Amino acid sequence: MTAEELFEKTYTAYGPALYRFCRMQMGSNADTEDVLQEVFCKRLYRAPEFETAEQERRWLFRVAVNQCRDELRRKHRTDAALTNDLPAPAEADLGLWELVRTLPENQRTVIHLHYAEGWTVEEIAKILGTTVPAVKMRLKRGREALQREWEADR
Amino acid sequence: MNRYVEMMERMPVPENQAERLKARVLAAEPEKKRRAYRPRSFAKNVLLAAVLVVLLAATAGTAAELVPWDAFFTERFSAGAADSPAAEDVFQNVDVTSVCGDVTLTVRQALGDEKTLYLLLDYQLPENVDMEMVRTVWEDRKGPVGNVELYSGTVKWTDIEGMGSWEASCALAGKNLPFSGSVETVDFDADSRTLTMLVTCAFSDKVSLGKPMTVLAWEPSVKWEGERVDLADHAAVVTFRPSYEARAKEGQKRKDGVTYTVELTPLSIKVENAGDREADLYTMWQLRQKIVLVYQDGTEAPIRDFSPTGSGGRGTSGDRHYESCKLLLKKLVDTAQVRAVRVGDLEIPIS
Repeated sequence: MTAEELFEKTYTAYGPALYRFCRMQMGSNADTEDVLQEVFCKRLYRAPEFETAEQERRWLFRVAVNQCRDELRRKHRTDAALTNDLPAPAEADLGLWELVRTLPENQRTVIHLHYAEGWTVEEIAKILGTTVPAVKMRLKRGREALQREWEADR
Repeated sequence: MNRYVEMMERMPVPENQAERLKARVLAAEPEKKRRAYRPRSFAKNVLLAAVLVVLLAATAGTAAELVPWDAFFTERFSAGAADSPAAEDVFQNVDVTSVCGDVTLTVRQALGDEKTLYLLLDYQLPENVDMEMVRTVWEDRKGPVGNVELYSGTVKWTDIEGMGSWEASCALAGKNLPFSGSVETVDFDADSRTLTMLVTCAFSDKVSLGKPMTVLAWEPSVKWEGERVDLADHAAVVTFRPSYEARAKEGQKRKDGVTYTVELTPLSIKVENAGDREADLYTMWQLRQKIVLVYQDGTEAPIRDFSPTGSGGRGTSGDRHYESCKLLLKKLVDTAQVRAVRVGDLEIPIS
């Protein structure tokens, strides 16, 4: 399989999901695409052999998590501001989007992997290389923070 | 949280993102700083060797430029070291992997001679290790900390399976190759759970080239919340056969009751002076200042030109006192071009 074929196969299967995760983490489209470039470069040029599609998917998200963290650390981003680059979440979603973006990175990571990607707490612990109790705690705190802020806005 | 799911499902992917990304990814060169280890098939190894033979034959004058030192070696040694005439004699692309339970060890490359060895060792951590903890420690530049021992001969994983490092060391006692040196973690890749360690060894005695050598890796560890945490629960081993060819040149001369002994390799030099009276001897620091390489063409170079690091030793043997200076060199010495070592005004021929 050529590099181009591998890219197309990987992007078709996982591109949009990876984009949404990275967009939620990075905030801007430009930064998101920088991160995605690194993720796909690693997939094409430095990845191990995968026995199953699920193994590949987990690997890709693990790489995306680490890449986003590296990039955020490098840019010292702490704000949740949206930039003007489109597309952005739908207007009806802006409030929730901004709330999620205010969460600490490790909480919004587990929130997204659990609710948007459907992984269990055990699977998320494996992807992040951490413990199940740590994931549960972050999920609990993330949900409570969102609920608190959501109710305060009302 | 249904709203979160719905929000994500509604989020559109930018138009033409796939094409944009594809162009960038295909245009991006693979990261050259750290070469990812991939086991090569025997057929590919044969083909690669054949290509290298053809290239080396065609460009004999520039053979040193083809020596593919890993980026960690080129960072450690001076600029141009990989292109120096001695580079090929000390270099070995090892690429040997050993799976030891839930740990995988890979010797990536080696730079070595009869008295010195640098190893690039990849240590893949077990799956249950907390990567966030390791990452935090790594980014704070506080570890992880590793340790290795070296043994002559082959040791298989099954020989020490399940043993901790102390137990394995005891089991292998008698075969070890004494050395002074260090183990430094030079890289950490969370994606592959891999620590890369640079192992530096200055051997007490000359090591037989061409015979199998085993690396016993102790469990790496980190300091976390005030406690030492081991990142594995057993020792691991990997055996490789050094194929580098650089040998030591030696010489000895006596003057005014003091015997001067020299050992010179591309990567190191040892000079020792021994005599009946301690007061007659140069200290290790004085030796370091006085060592000069004398070339076949008559030119000379002080050893400080080779960016030496190291120390020495002193003591007594019977009624003889000795003091020595042992240096690791960051610029390689083309020992074929060196005919003598001068210590002060005493020239000691070497061969």
